Amino acid sequence: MYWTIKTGAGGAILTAAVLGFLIGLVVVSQTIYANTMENIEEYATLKALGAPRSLVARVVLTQALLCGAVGSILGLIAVIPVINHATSLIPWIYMPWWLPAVMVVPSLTMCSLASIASVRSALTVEPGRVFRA
Amino acid sequence: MPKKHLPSTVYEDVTELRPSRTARNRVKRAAHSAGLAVEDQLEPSLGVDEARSSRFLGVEGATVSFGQGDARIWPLRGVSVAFQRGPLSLVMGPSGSGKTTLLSMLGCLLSPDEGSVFVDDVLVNQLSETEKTAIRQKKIGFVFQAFRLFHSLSAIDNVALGFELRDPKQSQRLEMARQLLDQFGLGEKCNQEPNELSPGERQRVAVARALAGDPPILLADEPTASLDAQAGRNICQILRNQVDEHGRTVVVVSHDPRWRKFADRTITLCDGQVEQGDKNL
Repeated sequence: MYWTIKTGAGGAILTAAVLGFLIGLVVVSQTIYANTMENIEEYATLKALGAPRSLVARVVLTQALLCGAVGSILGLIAVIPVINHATSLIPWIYMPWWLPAVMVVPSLTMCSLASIASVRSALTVEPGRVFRA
Repeated sequence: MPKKHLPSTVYEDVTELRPSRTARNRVKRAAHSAGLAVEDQLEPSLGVDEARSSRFLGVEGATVSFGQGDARIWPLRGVSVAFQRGPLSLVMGPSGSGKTTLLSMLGCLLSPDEGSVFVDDVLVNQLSETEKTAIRQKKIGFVFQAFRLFHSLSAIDNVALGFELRDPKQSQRLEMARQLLDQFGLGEKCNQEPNELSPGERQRVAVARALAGDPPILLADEPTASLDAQAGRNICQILRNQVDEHGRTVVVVSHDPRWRKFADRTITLCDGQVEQGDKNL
């Protein structure tokens, strides 16, 4: 904690982490939004068929969380060998075994936050457009 | 033998059953063999029944406009149309006459600027979006020209979704969806995705989805417009059977003249107003 809070090195790493989170948020948000808009007719159909708002929101959120889960698993697969390699080269690096797994939680939180704009779009789509051929 | 009139209590029961044409004929035959004169009372086009169900489904004095200023258009101007429980009604008219706008109002998808919309005896244009959604969910099945199936789902999952929307607690929805698809001759294709099916098969899946959960009202917008002659006839017959065998109220908007012989009633719209009604009743 001392290195993280009191030193410049910790501050730089923390800033990088926050920036990474924000950039990830924007990228994931754009991806989920594009996917939602691509399927906006299907959300309109779902609403026309009588799907309640909660179900429509749940569909978008589930897709976002699935993206987040798949991305986290792929990320872990990629990062664990790097951690092992780094700790073998630099003995004083401390990386608890549970930390990579715990990072899935902020990733999923980021995906949930990123889906807000998409949920709004899906909820506000006009169901009457289903009659347009 | 002097003619007797059917007792009003019997009539009440018949009305409550929402009689289909088949059911009405069955009651007529039974009453005839008992020496009762019932034809006039059971005929849905006549007085008492009209009064009882004139607000079952319909619009009264409905005016709808889109756009503003010089670009403003009026797809419907003061239209009043009532649909009774049971018959298959056909709404025809040239493009831009307001057919789809009328169907959108009946489906609780559009509120008129003026006038009233009734669905299952409820004035719906005063309801909240949540309440309208609930009415669509429980009372109305939709069939669209463009099918509007979910392409990432198989045929059976599309139909099961219809059951799930109407009753989320329904645990047998896959089995019920399979039975429904079997009825429409799609039992062997139930695991195929929509883009692996022919247009006629897709529309049958869409009709099955619309019927999932047994809604009393079926609204169809140009259901045969994307189909060849044989597939179109199949869809006409399937929707006709919904009236004859299940007593469902079916409203079809179409340009397709083949529908005339399947419809009990034809309403013609022109320039946002009813030009002709009750042609076949």
